[in-house]
Amino acid sequence: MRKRASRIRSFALTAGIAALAGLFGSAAQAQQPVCSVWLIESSRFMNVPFGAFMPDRAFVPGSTKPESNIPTVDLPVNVGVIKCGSELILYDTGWKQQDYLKMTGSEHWAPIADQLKVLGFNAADVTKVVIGHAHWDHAGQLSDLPNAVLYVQREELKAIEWALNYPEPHIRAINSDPGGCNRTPACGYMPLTMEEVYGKVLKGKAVVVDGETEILPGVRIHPAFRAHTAGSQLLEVPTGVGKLVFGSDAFSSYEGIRDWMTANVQQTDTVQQFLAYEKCYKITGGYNNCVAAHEPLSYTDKYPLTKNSWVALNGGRMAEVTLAPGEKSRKP
Amino acid sequence: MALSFAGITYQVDDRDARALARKIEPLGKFFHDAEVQVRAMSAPPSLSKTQVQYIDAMALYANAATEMLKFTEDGDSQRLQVAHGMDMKASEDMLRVGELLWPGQYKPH
Repeated sequence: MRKRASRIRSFALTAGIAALAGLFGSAAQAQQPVCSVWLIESSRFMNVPFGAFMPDRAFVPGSTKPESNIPTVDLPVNVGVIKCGSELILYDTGWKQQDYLKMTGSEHWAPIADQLKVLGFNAADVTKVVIGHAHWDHAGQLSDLPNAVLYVQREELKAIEWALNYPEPHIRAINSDPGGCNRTPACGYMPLTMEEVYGKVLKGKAVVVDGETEILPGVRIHPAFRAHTAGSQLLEVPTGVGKLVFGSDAFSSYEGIRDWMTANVQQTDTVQQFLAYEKCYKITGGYNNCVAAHEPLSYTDKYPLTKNSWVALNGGRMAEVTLAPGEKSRKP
Repeated sequence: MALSFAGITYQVDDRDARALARKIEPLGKFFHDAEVQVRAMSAPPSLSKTQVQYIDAMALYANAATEMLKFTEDGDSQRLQVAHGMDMKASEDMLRVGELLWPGQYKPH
């Protein structure tokens, strides 16, 4: 009889503890921040040979294989717009330098400030910018976001400085040097873009990151060094559709992440790029929540995360990815 | 760009004014020499305006370098902001020059 009473008490105690744990667990989950996310197309590279973007998708004339029967693709330059409570974050900023857009055959460009207005935001509302890396099409409009604090990896800045000062001209060449450059260490780091980064540093509005850091509860920068450039970084964002991971050009291609193919090799160690893909799989539980910077299928059903899309300024596209509770749709 | 990156390295890394000066001095000389050389050239009338723009851009780069060197002497950080502004304007001006001198190509700036 006593043993039975003791077992009943023990069971009641355990059940009580479990109930309390459930209560606190729910409360903790309820406090877990959830962000709203939109995607903006800053511009589009037109008619890029598929093989230049993804070597394993190079066009083979006469081929009927789906991986080799597309000669050229158009590549969007995707910017992430992330709203977490009162904080508005951009992941990458696109570009605005008309000479650079012209030289790369880019179309459908619109200024970031005007694009944000379409979503009902002001450029001055942006509190943080995380650049996946400092290439010209990803860090080009920092000066138009006057209140934003820039987050950039120290590894990225160190590598740019090393490359620009290297004695061999081919190694230190940038796109505007005689002969240009092709995937060499300083390629893509153009003067006016570096001025944008310097401007933020000078104004005391730059945080130089060393590796992993949390910039808001649940919003985390993960280093992805050499997954595209020396100081590439990913951004993990909690949302109502699960965690998203923004990858800039470490995740240039959604199909690349899905099919384990390298994409947009620049200052890239492909092993590190594949490890960055793996990181997205681990954080999000798959590939569908990995946000790619240049996926040709962006803004279509074939890239499901971006399918809730519309055409906005100058033919550029936008997508409403997910809304936090209480957030109204900003789709026109 | 070398001017900007010297400034970035100073701000985020070493804060070593002497190291900054060592980087900036040769750059200032380079731009000054370029200005002098181009000024000494005789350009055809159709390119005389372009020549002036190029010379002005080189002078602006050289002035930016001078301003940064003054910062290394007196520590007035406002000079870096001023130099940055000059650097950006010079880059934009060089792009305009490049439209005529190197049409359809990437242009040094």
